[in-house]
Amino acid sequence: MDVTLGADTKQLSEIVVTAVGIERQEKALAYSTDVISSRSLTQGRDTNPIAALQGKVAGVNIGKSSGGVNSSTRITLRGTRSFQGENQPLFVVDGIIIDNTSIQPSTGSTNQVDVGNRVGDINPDDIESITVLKGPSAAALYGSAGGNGAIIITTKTGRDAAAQGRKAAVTFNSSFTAETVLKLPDFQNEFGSGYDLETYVPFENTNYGPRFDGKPVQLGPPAIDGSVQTIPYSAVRDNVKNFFNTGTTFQNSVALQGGNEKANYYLSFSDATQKGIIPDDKFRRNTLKLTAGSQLTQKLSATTSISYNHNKTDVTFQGSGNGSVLNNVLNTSRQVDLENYKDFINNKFATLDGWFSGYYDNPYRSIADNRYVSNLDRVLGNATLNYAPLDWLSFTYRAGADISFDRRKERNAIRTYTSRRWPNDGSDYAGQAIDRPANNPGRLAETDIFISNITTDLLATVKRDVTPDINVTFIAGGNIFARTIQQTSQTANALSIPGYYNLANRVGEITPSDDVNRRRRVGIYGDLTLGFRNYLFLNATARNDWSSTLSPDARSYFYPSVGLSYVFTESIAPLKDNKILTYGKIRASYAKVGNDATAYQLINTFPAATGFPYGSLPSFTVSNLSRNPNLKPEQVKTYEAGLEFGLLNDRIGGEVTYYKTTSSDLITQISVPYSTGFTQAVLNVGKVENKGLESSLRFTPVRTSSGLRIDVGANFSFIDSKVLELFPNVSQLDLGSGDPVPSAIVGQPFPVLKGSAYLRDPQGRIVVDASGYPRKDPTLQILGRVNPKYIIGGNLTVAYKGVRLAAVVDARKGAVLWSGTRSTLAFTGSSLETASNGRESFVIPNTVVQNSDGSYSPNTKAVADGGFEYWYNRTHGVIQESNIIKADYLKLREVSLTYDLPKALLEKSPFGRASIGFSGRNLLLFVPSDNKFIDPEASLFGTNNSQGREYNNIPSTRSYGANLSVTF
Amino acid sequence: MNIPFKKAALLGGAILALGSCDDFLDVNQNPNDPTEVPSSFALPNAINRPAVVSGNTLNVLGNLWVGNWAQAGDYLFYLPEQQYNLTPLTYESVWTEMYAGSLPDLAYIERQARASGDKNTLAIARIMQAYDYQILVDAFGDVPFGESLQGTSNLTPNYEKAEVIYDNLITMLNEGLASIDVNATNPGTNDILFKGDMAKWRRFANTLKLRVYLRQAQARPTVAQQGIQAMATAGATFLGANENAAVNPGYLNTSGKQNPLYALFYNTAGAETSNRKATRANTLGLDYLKATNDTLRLKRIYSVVSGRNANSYRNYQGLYSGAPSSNPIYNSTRLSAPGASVVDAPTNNGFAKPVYLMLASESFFLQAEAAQRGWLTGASAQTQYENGIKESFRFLGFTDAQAQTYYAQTTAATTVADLTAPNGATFDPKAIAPNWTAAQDKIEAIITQKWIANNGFNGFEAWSEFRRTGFPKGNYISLNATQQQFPVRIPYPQNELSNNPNTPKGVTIFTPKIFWDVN
Repeated sequence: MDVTLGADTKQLSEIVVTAVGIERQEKALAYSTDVISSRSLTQGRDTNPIAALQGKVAGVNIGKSSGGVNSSTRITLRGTRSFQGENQPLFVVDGIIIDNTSIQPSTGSTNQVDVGNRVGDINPDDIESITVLKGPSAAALYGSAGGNGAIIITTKTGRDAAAQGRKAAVTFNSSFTAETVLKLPDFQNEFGSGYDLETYVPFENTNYGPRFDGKPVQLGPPAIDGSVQTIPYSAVRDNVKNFFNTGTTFQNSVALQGGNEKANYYLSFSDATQKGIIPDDKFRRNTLKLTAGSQLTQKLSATTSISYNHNKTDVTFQGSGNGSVLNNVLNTSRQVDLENYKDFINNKFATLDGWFSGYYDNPYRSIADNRYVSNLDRVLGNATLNYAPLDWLSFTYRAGADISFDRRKERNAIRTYTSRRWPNDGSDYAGQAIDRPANNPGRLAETDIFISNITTDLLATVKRDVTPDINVTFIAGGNIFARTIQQTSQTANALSIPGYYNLANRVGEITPSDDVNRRRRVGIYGDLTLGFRNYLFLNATARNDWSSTLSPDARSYFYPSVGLSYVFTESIAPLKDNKILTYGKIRASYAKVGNDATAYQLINTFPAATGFPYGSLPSFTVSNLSRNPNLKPEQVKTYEAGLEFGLLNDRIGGEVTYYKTTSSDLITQISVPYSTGFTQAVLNVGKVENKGLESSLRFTPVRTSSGLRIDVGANFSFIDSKVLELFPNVSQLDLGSGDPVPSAIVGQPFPVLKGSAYLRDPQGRIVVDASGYPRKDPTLQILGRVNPKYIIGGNLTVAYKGVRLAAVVDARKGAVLWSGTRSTLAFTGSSLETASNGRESFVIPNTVVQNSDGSYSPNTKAVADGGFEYWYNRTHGVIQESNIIKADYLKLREVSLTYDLPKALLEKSPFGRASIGFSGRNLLLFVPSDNKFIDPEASLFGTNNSQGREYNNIPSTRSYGANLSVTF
Repeated sequence: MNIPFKKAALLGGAILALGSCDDFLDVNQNPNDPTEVPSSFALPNAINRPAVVSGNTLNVLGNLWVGNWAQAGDYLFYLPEQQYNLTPLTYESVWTEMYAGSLPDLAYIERQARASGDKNTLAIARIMQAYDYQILVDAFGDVPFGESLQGTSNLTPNYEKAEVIYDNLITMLNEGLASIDVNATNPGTNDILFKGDMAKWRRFANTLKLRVYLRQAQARPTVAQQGIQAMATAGATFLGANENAAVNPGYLNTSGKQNPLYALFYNTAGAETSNRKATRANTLGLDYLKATNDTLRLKRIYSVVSGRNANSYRNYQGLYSGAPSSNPIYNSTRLSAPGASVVDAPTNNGFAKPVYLMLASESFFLQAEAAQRGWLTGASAQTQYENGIKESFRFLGFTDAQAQTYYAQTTAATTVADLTAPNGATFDPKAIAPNWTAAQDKIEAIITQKWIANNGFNGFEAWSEFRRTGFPKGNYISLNATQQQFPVRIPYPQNELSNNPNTPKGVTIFTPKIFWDVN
């Protein structure tokens, strides 16, 4: 093999776009950053640019909430620091803070929708690069909002094309991917409908009936016309699997770019159309974007960009409710061939009255009856003026707006069942009423969500060489941020005419809600970088913010940062031009960031009381939230230190960063004892410490003159957190509600799941009662941590001439997940584990009984009922510890193969460049053996802080696709 | 793109100037909820919260635990209740509705009424506080009292002894009674209990006081005796015929606005919910009525098995708590539900029916017990006992004559085949006969009749009286109980355990008993 060691110093002089759109030399940075290129982002063809970061950046925890269309993706950098809010980083597009909310239609576990997060609105093909600024130091210049780090997105402009002298370069990208379910639970195939282990019950959703024998049985009640369906009593192994469709995603985008030395432009249009794995789930995103730049005079230049989105989401619900499609699928008994019941109108055994189950709906009907439709329009625009009166002095003014309007319609159909009796056929049910679910009065909720973010910045930059050795960069600026969220909704909780969804078609009163939330922030800042001989850099920043959400006395707060970076390979003579150690840098920094409250936390209110007004009788009640006029800003302090190196002409490179972040005075809505008269109080409480190690390594083992290049990269992060204190006398704080619930507990990582647990003896063995069933611990116990302790990513790129193969793996370890799917399957008796003891009476292994003297002796009592009683009534239904699974996984996240057609071939064609590619995402998933249920990346509550739980979520997907990219 | 630079600089200058411009930042006034309201606006909710607790949450629990209701074999709704396996979360809402619902509003009303000299509103606030705290003590024992409701100025309220709070109930009721002035202005329709009828409030307060004293008849007989005798001396009057303490804010057939127990049983389309299908008659309550020929009340308290002839009492069927779910005879469709008087059908506007904080019949049974103990003079114990039965019959739509026929019975006339309480409990055959003279233990007769009168309406009061007196004797330990013991209380809620270190430790539903439970 012809291996040459050619110098490739490109890495060393890379420019990084950091806070407020300031471009810096990477070697001058005193903190850790990662830059992800457009190519790496789009190789897997995920529609969400954040999901495309998975496995590629150290210290970053990214999770997709579900396998639904346009599913939301949560990202946290270096763990979660604050008890409130989402703890997600700030998102900045071309210098403008953009909205990344994910407002879910419900706060409960029933009728949830994964509504996507707003960063997913961005067309990945428009992105030039993404910079991940992990620590608060990196974002000190964004102020409060950057306390959780920042994701800086730089979009494409026409500059490159203009520089090449092209007036109109056209790029066309087209891709198609197909998605299938990645992981389904393991089902048992031995037992069918029933609950007493002996009697087959034709309308029963739980599978605690007799063993399958293949003999013909009646399924469900007679149809309305009296006819009866007979099926063989045997398992339909793939009844759940066959329910899911193959999802599809088409992404087409076309971009036109070009210009001359005076002006350039970039214009793009994209269309992404998704069909989900759940039948009828659809999503479509159209984007239109125009960026134009102009050198107006020698000293004055201007850039402006505007993009428009239209998203349409049309999906059904997930979660634990009756309208949740997965709940209905999982409650379909094992002997039912679900696919036969698609036609719920003409198939008399698929209709409301004919469907077999007496308690749950036909999932196909449920899909049609329960819809969530959202139409979102969004405009994102910015304008930048740059004036450089002197070659060392420039002024920049930037104004931007991000305005979105989301019109949502949630509807549940009226469902009326016919009241009927079993025929007098001599069966067990003769003459009895036929069980059906309750009639549903229908529901319609219309919600409008308006969100506006306005940002303006003015900054002055001085760049001078004071002496030949000393270089100064000083930036002074001011920033204004204003945000308004207005949500209004009207709900009709009963409808009159079926199939007609208008608020006028209601029965009873409309339930309205009206909520406006406004906040504003003003900041001024300074940023000084002193460079000495291009190897030693000192950076110091200072900022003062004024926030509308704090009282006039407390609204002003100041915070500084300082950092040092030292490129020792350029300073120590023997190391200069060293062939072994090509590059070496050490860095250290300290930053403090203040953070304000959310709006309206200062003065107590009297909201309308529950249920009121009753007709014309109104009532208002003392709010359950005790607000606090004395709130002060939160404090986040971070220390970090790191080493970066390049070896063997940068064939090997890497970096290691250690950080420690302490967050204190956290503005938190803590749960207070209800006996205080309130359920929650806003206080400055607690202290959380996050520390961790981030490392990444890249290696180019092969780089030949013939063009073969192999790059291997790996990153490893260790993230640990600990709640140091909460509030005097308070050692636990719940984030949300339920059993289990994510909580902050003093001395524990943040957050942990807390819930009902098995009673255990000092040796950890489960204690059973006199009947041999497990006892429940009377106090709630810690069931595990929500965030992983270790995050590992790896990637491999092989390039040879025009062929490029890239693969990304990622893994997480150390967290747990509460699986509502597991609980549901224990209820229905369809998971494999529920058949593990053959439904026989058995002694639970390694259990003990408590003797009257308090000691423990081994248990020999067998549980009387190894069916529903054991699997649900005594364990998975009541002791939530039994539904905890390890959330560890290893995923083959992306594999892509692209082929750039050789220039020679294209010369005679109209194409400047052309490539075709194949890609796959989530191709392989490895999980611990206790996880026979779901891809542990799932979260029921989308991207908010309440993580660690899934409940009949739409399973995640594996995707395969092909793409084509051509440039004219 | 032709913004002159000077203008941009001006805008930039404006940014910096704004740093000191407070007007720009003064956008923190809450536009969503008022920050001040007159106390009259708080009164309806202050009365409505306890109605949810008494009419729904605790009513269901009580009815399950005194043998009135049980869970249908093919439904799963009351597993913790039937297994005696309540977690700190199961009944947390009781605590929430009182401490973070009714009581803060009452405290606010009390402060405002004192400041403005609104005597009748003050009286109502004090009486309702006593009502709320009695429920809290009867459910949880020692609870925060003197240090409660102080918001962030005391985030860890101390727990006070239940008997001390009981003494304070009397203080509150006395202050309320003293503040009643029938000639002064009253809150009118904002009073969703008595519509401003302050004379009724006085009788309600007195009856409540009698209930508070009698609850202590065994544990602190002297306190009870002296208190009741003082009431007699002062000529206290009690809730009389048809004077039920009925709360109705104007229930509507709209989601979230129905009678709370109705909302559990029917949806707005008038369809029976799974919860109603799960809630079926308990054999104990049903058979007791059958055994005493009480078929009139039976048909109002329970509904006929679906599709059967409603006239024959044999078509009313129940099951024992915790009966094996696998037996199809315990399927919901084969059993009786709570009856039309408890939750009326959608076609009869059941959603609009009131919630009863206290039935008038209870007033008579309380007076009967006080008279029987010799603490209340005037009408005899027998008269009040029979008045109570008559009142119960009237309330369910029957005549005094029908009541008289009923309580004339000296022996159990009907033999019900399966009239044997399971799990070691036994019926006292003499207590089965409703006749006063025939009853050997008069207190047992009174409490048993009160249990029947409250069946479906005030299950929690029936359960409290069962804990105090052990009546009805036939009550039994649920067949699938995890421990062979009667529950004696509700565990402290999770919120309080997590957030208030003063919450007593080691509390389960089996221990400790409420102070008045010395039985």
